[in-house]
Amino acid sequence: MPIGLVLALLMGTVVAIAIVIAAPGVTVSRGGKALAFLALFVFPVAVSLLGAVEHMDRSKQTQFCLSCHVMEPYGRSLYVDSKTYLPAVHFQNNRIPRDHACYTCHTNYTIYGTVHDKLRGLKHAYKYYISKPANPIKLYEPFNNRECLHCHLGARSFEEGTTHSALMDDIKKNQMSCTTSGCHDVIHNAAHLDQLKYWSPQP
Amino acid sequence: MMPQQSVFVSRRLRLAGTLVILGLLVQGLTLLWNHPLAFLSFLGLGGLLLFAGIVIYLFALISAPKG
Repeated sequence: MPIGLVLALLMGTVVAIAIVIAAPGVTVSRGGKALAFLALFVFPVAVSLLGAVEHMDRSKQTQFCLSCHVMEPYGRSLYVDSKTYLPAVHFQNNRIPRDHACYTCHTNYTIYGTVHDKLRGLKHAYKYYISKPANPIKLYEPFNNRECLHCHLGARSFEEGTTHSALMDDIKKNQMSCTTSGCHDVIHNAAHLDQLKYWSPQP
Repeated sequence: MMPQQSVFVSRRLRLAGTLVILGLLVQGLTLLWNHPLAFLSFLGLGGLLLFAGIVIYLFALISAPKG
């Protein structure tokens, strides 16, 4: 839903509440009671839910993830001019949406994946603002092939590749990791980004 | 003159309304800012004010004397 519409609903709710505050006597009538119920319960809950959906959607944006200082090198790694850097290759070739780059690879593609992500996001916020982020930053659990296969499974270039097809069962069962078995193991490499060439997208 | 029970309810309504408006304004402001702190403020501050206002309103409804 457009943000303007959410804000318009919010302002409408504020006006309705202001009427109830200014003249609480209106709630004596049945119509007034209904107005108070809508203004003080139904509309605020609805506006709050719409706002929460908007915030949830925003939290998937690359810009949102990179707004924390500790994420800066990970954002830089997306622009490394090298085919060996897995996130950079995905980002630069539009294999993932650039505006949702972090979320696309780091979400859990499971039934409760989004909820899990949001809880993990709150944990990140706690670590960043109250506790202390790990140095170097590490994944909470090893990267699951499921996240790669969400897009790659069924893709002709992936399935017909001799290496992939020979190891397909192990890949699907997550017994052979895509990222730590020596095949695609150059990921963000955030600590070693200094002496590298970077890609500058055309404006 | 307003009956006594109406004064009780109207006080509660005013308090609830003020809290809900504050909560909504906080939530509205956070929607103009794309940052993790905006989400936390939306949830922690805006959500808390809104929740408190709604609870006071509902409490006023059930505790208002009949008649």
